[in-house]
Amino acid sequence: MRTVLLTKPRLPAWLARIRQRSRLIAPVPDADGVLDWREVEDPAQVVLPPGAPELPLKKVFFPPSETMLRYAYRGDRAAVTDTPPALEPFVVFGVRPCDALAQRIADLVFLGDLPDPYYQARRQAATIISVNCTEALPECFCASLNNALTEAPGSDLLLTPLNGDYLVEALTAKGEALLAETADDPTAASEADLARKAEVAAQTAAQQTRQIDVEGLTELVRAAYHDEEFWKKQAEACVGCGVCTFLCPTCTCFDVRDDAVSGRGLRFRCWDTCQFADFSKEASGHDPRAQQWQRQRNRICHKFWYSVDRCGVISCVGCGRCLRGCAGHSDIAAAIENLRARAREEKPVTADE
Amino acid sequence: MPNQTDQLRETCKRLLESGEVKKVIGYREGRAPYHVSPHFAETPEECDALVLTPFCTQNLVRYLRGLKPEDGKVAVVVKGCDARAVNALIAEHQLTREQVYLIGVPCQGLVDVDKLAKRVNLAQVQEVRVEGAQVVVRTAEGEQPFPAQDLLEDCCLVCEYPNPLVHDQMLGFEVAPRNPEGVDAELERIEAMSPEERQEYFRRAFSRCIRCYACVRTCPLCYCTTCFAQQNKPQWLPRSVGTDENEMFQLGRAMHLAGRCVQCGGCDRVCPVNLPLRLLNAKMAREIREAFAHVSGLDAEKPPPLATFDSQDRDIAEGNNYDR
Ligand code: SF4
Ligand code: SF4
Ligand code: SF4
Repeated sequence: MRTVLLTKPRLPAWLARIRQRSRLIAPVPDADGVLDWREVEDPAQVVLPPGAPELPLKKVFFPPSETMLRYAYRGDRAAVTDTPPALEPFVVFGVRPCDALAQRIADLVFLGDLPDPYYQARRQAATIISVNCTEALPECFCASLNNALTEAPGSDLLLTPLNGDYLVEALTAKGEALLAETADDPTAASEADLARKAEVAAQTAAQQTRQIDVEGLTELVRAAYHDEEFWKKQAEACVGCGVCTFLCPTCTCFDVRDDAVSGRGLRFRCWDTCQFADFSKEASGHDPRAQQWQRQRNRICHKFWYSVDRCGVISCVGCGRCLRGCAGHSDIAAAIENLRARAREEKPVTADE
Repeated sequence: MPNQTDQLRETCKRLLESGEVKKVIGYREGRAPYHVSPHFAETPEECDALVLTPFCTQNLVRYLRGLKPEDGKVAVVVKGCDARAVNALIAEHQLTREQVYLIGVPCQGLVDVDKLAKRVNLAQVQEVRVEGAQVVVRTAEGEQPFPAQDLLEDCCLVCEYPNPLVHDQMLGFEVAPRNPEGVDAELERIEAMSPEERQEYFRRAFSRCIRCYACVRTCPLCYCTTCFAQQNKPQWLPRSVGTDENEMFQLGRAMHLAGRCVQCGGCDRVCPVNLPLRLLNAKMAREIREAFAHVSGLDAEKPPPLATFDSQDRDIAEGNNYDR
């Protein structure tokens, strides 16, 4: 795979060439300055704040709500029109490595035995260009969980800022093809450049003050499952909103509903979350997770136990969004520490220390 | 003289030790100074984690929801806006005064983390203090003062009632309100827009909503078991996320909070996509104040005007149509 150097001033021209070829999506602010994954008109609009942008990359592939089919009844027969997205190839720029990895994890859910055609169409159409982090936020803790900063799994191309330049690494055939078609006479990168990249990754990792020790984590979570007091304490400040899960790049739950008037309508899906009160309520009226502490327990168990059992991976990438967005500043890394403290039978005094 | 935090810890320990209260709800610091979480202390030892900083943002009155008389008395740390929420809840029969011991904290204003992040590297921040017209930020490099105007939360800059109007004990001295005249320049800017401009502004904001309901769930006054926006049977509003549905949701919420919102800024602060929720609620509060001379949370005896019916009401008695 090719690894080249791109000088910083040449980045906008490169993005402009990509945009001539296909749609380009990146973090772009609206008139109120709020970033979202939006279509890029002009490369100058792209804003890459330190850390992962507030809204996760998953929004590009799994929108907060989407129509799946339309139907109309004639007598007792319904005419159904499927509405999977028909997409031209597009490029997503400015993805942080944690988000690219998170999308891989979401793939395990959406593209398993029974691939989801809506999600799959978007995934196949997309080429992901990640931009490595040089500045960690106080909430970031990817380095203790995964190899996102060094390997950027899930990215087709990875850009790492090296002083005045970007090291551009093609990580997949898709990335290689995009680079070949759009790069304008790039310089080949040297071994020294790759060494500098490793330094940048190590520096970013060193800035991360929050760390979690993943050793035996699944077993710890499993062992705590029945400790009601522990989970109640953990969830005390939780108000039961959807922020932690909606902003989480690996959370994939959705609801399917109909919107219909007199025999015609549409079926859509929208984000849903284990934190909402009606999420696990059954038709009988029984709710196996009737209390908020049970819902928070589910979230932690899912990330560090159920995902590992079912998909073989921890489904937290350490982006820190759940902590940044939480009304009560509930800290998932601290929850893990508390689990360890519990295992050592030093009962933690407060919920998150 | 003991500082406010020491005073707070001592008070709470005494309340728990004497058995006067069963639980204390206050604040504790997380990993970074600006990550302050609600803290629930049931033993005197747990009171040592209590703090008071300009990042004590949560309206803790929200955590009183579901408190039953048999649960005993709970002590809550309240700022000016939080104390108003207590009054508002009592007026709506959601709480009785006897259920709570109110530890009042005169409030100089909360520091807006987003505004702070624009001026200093958050990772370097060690301490932040509000000192009248200044906010002092301490980092490893020393202390740096900023005008309060630049760093305080919008709701604090327009606050008329920073001193808890109801309390069992006050920590420290009363402070002067930042906005005794009730001026709200940002609201006036929106009011001065043409209807088209205003619609564009709000539609753009509504289009961003992801329907996480953090605004609803954080609000001390949104105590419905199930918000109308999340109800299934009947379904008042589609769950789909789109500008129209989001608009209905937010306008519905604003109507439900008219004359009830205490402007603590909770919804506005927690919204992950920066909807100007404060402005919507401030506008409704202004309308209610003008039409009914009612300000939420000033009086625990006065129910919100839109929840009352009076056959002697001037409009009804005189057969007036209320059109303006
Ligand atoms: S943990 Fe925080 S973000 Fe998640 S549901 Fe609870 S209050 Fe909302
Ligand atoms: S659980 Fe929190 S830190 Fe982990 S990936 Fe999800 S949002 Fe990021
Ligand atoms: S907090 Fe913001 S995004 Fe979430 S439902 Fe409320 S307005 Fe929408």
